Amino acid sequence: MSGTTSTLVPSMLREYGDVTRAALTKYLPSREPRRYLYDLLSDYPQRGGKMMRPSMCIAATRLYGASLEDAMHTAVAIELLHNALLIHDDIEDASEKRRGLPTLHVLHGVPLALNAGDTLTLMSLRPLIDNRSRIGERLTLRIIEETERMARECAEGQAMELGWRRYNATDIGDADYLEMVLKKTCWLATIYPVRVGALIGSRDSVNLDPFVRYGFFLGAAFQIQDDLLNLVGDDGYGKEINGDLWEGKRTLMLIHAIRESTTEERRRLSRLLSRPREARTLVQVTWVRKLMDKYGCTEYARKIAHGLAGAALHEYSLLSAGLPDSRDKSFLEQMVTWVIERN
Amino acid sequence: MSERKRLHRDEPARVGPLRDFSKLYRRPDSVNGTNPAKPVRPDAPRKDRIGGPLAEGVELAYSVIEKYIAEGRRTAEGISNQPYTTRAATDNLQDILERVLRFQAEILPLWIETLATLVRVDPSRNGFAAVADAWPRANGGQNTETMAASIEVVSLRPVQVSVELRPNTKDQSLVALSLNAVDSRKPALTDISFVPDEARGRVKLRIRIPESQPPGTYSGVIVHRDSGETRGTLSIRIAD
Repeated sequence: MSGTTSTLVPSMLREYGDVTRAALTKYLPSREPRRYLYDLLSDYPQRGGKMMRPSMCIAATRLYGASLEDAMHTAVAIELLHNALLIHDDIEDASEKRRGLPTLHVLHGVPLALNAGDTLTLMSLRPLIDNRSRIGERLTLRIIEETERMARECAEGQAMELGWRRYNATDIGDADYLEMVLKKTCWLATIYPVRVGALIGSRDSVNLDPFVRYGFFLGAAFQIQDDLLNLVGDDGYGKEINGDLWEGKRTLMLIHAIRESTTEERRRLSRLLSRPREARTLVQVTWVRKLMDKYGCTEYARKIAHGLAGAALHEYSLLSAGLPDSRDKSFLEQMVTWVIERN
Repeated sequence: MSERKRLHRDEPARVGPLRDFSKLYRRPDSVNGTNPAKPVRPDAPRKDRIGGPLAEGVELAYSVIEKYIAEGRRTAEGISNQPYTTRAATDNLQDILERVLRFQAEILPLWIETLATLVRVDPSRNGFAAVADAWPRANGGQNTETMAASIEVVSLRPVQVSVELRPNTKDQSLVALSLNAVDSRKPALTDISFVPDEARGRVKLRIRIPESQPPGTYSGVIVHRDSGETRGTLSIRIAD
């Protein structure tokens, strides 16, 4: 094993992120209509990003001894799709900031941003098809099958969360939250990248179920940490602080606050959450934030995130047992610590 | 020797054999998704749960993922009647053979396409075409010359033919040995020959399938007539 958490993960994210970004730009056309479409497509990818998803795909591929090039088309497809879904998420959540800048729909309006998201989604198919020339038709088809499943899971998870907000669900438990996160976040962020990576690397010869467990625990810890950063993040966070409270997003902290509240507090919370974002006031959002402090919600969520990280490490030790030590093996292991330590 | 009384720890209560390390941290009633754990009621009174948020969260998360995997497995089995795992069972020789054949079936069209392309490019070659390897060599090695051949199948039923020849197989002295099924009760296919194809200036692989031949997969090797050295493989799948 080489490197430490503080250096190995960031350096490999940079290394794999750079090659993925370079390959990705070849898939972004630079023709007309630039102003209304193609400039918008390249906006989010050019803003940076952690490149966690493609890096995990490449690492999982190399874990089994295959080359970085074998994973490259799939890594590019993952990043394109991720950026496409970010555009749609920002519209659905009415988010104002993404990677430190105004969101695409704030800059260009919802119709153009929506069209850009649709186009980027469809363009993520091209690198998947291009896999044929590198890894053959059978693996290409298997990856497309995995992609179809991941897309379905993501859509279901997103629907759960949006539905809870639309119909002001206040009876959600931690298990509901974890199931929603499993589908909405984990499939694209962690499960799918490592599953397709292992599929490519092993030439479809390993059982992919253990990657669902590892990816779930890692992705859920990642999401909870992301939700925590939304409350306590610094200037480098890149999104709107307390944005989740303004949007009424059902986070583990909010669910805990609802559960622990008095009857009167719960009634007030429910009234507040039933209003659209634009009807909420700073006073109301501040009150919810204080309620979370009163019931130790951030500490509660942080402890759960740490527990899930431990479970992820345990599952990873099972699935990686017997594989030779390598930077990629260490990277996937240290990703677990990195996701809950990042700020 | 010390005068102090030795301390003894009580024997731990026996709870049953623990044969699988992977279940150490999982709920006892969660057996790799086949017997999913019952979800913990998320809003159960706190006094009923032990270990604090960290342990509760992990326990709850395991119950969610095990239930999810079990549901996925059941759904997949309902759809395809296959195991949830995407990998075929490898303890069955017939399954392995079928996977090999599927892989070869992907290669064959590319192989033929490559041959056709090269024949078009250089029609002056008489008998043998220089064939670019359709697949990159793992070690980045050079392409090699391989024989071009036509395939003629005489059969009343649909058949799928897969041929793979080693690189540098470039003369006509080839013989296909009999093709056998895994099931030894099925008769071997023996009417297989390499014959000159005068019209096209190459060799032709001719295969005749008897009308009474049982359906199934038949495989064998192609050898050099003089040396007996194996030069490739030939597989035929006969439909019902």
